[in-house]
Amino acid sequence: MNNPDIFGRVIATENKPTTTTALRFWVSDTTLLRPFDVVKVPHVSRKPGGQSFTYAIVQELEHLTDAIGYLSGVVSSDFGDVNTEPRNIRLGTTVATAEVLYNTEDIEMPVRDGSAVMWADREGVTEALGLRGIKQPLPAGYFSMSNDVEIPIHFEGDFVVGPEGAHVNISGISGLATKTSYAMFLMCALQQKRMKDVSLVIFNVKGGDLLNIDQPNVAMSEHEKKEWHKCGLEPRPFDNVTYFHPYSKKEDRLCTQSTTVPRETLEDQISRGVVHNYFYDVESGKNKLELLFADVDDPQSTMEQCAEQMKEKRPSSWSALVEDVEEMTKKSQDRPNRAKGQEIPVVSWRRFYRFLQQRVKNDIFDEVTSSKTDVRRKVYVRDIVRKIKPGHVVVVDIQPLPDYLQSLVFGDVIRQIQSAKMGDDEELGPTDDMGRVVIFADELNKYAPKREGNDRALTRTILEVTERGRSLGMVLFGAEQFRSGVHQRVLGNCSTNIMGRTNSVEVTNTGDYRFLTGAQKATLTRLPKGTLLLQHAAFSTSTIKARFPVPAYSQPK
Amino acid sequence: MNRIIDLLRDRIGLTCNRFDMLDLDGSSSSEWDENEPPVEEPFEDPPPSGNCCDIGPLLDPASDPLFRFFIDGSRKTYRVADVEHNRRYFPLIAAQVGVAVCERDCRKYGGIGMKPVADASHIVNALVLPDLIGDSDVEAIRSELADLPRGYFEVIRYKFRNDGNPLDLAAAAVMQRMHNMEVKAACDLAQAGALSNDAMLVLDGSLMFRDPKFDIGDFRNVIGIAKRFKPDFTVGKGQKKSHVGIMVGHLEQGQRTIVHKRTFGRVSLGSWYLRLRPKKRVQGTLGGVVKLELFALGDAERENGFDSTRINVISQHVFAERNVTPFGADERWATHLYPMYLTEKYMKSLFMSPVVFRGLF
Repeated sequence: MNNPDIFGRVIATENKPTTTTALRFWVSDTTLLRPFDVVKVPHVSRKPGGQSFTYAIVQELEHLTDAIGYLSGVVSSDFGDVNTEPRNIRLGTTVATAEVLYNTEDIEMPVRDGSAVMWADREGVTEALGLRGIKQPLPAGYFSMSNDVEIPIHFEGDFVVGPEGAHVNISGISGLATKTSYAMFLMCALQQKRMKDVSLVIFNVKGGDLLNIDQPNVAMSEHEKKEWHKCGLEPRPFDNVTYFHPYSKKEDRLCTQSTTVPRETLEDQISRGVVHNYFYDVESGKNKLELLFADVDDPQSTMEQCAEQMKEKRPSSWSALVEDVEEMTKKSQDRPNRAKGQEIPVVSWRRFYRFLQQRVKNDIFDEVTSSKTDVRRKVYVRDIVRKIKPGHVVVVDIQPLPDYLQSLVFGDVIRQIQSAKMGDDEELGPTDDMGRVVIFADELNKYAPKREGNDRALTRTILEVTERGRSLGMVLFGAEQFRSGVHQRVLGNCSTNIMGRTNSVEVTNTGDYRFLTGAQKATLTRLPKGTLLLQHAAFSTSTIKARFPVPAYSQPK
Repeated sequence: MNRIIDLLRDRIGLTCNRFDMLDLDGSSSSEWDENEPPVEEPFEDPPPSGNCCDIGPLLDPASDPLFRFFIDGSRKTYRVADVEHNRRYFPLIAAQVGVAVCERDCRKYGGIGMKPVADASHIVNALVLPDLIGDSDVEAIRSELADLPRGYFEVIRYKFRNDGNPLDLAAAAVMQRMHNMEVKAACDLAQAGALSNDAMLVLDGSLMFRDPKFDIGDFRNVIGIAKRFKPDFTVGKGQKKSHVGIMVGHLEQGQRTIVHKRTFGRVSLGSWYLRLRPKKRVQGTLGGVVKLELFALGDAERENGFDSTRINVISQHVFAERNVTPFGADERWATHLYPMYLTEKYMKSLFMSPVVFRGLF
């Protein structure tokens, strides 16, 4: 009697046997299968006369025929007549290679030749992928099989925000990989599921996508809303969001350098009191100068030494600080016969002076002002950190700033959170409990690049977060176009890696994708929008292909 | 588990000297064509003017094929031991003999459109014994073999001749068993009403069976297609007499010879040759040519020969089967029609592996 559930049979040959970890099966002509589908195969049991089931995930599909070589095709077309229509169809089949994930009786014997192959049931897939028994489930998307079965995927929350593991890395090319959308989806899941113990800090580095995330996406269709429900989440924007823009002296632009936020949106945020402008006064800013020069090559660390010396000065303004540096440069010039290694060379002072003079011209370097506080809405960076508390979102817009100022703000916020966590920052003072702080940084390769030699001050800060942040409750969600461009130690500390669409050069020429099979690498180069490969410490398989919904917050047109 | 040689020694009393199992199929040549009856005369109506003709236009590839069923018989013959019995010394031959029947219906089955016909394909394991072993002993052997846990064995007997090679005699007996199975499978299909004018059966090889004990009417819609043939038969009359090999050598692709009558036993059949491949693409002038056979049925056919139009239509359909080919996978690719090739592959997939078979002895 025909069993409609069976669509293939296991095949074990002399050259390609089934093993503890892999099996191959041929597929009926009418079956549509694709990599990442999960199948079920009856297997031997520990109980006499019983049956266990082995679950396997499809990795590669091949179609083969009995043609020995290409010439078989030529000969079969009347020796090369391309218009020949053969009456007979050549014997062929599609053969799938699958990775064994799980057996219901924990049997590790290879499955037997000829065993039936069926679609895996929902329960089995959940078990096989390692999605059962998750203690702190964090929605991560949903898994879709060729037979229309859809299963929600959950990360183990303790491996995303600690304490078991931490940090998430998301890579993929711009535009198609939807890495920012996924990071936001994951943070939305955190806010909905971990309201009481997780706070979010988001750095906006491009466009205005993340500058109105507490307003709903009115363009979302019913189908798109259902995708949120499939993941076990409500399609709603972020709650408790506070925005911080770089300060501008231009009052006609509402004292912000952010130009990507529509004026009406900004006015609405101002009326709700959720938007502020951050700045640095010289008193607090002079202590962070090494971050201001984080992008400058400084093999002998002389720039850092200059910055260190300037901490002792008490200038009244940024221009006074620049004058102080100019004076130091002159003094250094007047003392040419210094002992080697004891003083900073004059060329370094000159360089420091040149950079400082140029870089503090931005409006975020300003004095403390008492007037028009409601118009200027000026706050210190430490005020940003004070806003961080469980269930709250802080968005720091650094997009209008040049790269070196982005590094300053980014590094400064991270350091202050770190200090607050350790309770050793006099400037910050006592803060409320922040919970586990998730920091999202796009273009991570800019802040923690892979490079030879000494790491920069900012890179060291990020390494500190990824290597010791788990115990402190600081979690980095990093995103970048190419994994190969990010510091290996940062990547190595991520318990969760998300890979979006990337190009074949990246996949083949770098070692960062070695753990993927050939088929998975090929899949990576043609992933559709909204689909990613997930690698997570709690999964039973190396990667799961997952879909996730469009953002539920307002998107600029 | 009892092994067969142990059974023969312990239960029957035959002295068997174990032999490293020897595959006999490569060494023995037992083509039926060796014993073909002589060609008599042209057997076509109206009588043809020459020895060759065109088969007519190519068929539309989308047209329904004429051939629906395919039968292939196959055997594997091994020398497994030598027997000492009654002051005689002879080889003990074992064989697997089988027949496969496949149906082609692309609309019904999809894919390659071929499926084995349910319950029609089967394998027989056999011990091949000379008549030097008496009936009583053979009955005892049959009884012992019936209790074997790993598949039924039957006994095939052959007549021992002092002037004959017992290996050849045994192989011929196995071949005879195989042909009987093929004939039975064909008759079963005909009697089940599966065959018709537009659903013919192709039988692999010649229809000239040695022991034609069957109703010839069951072969109304059966064609024999032989991949090889003996080229040194004389055909034609008077000054036009020549060996068939010479006539076939003149065929171009898409041409056939005229039909010639051959009689064996009480039946007549018509045979003709069709070139499937261009001469320059095959080895030798006989390459790429198949021999086709039909039984002459009905008084008019037996008297006047085959209707030329019917022969051409059948030839066109055979010609249409030339693609795809098992080129590279089978050295007989140029004349091995692909559905027949698949049937043969299926047949061979039913055999036990030689290692397992050896284990039974």
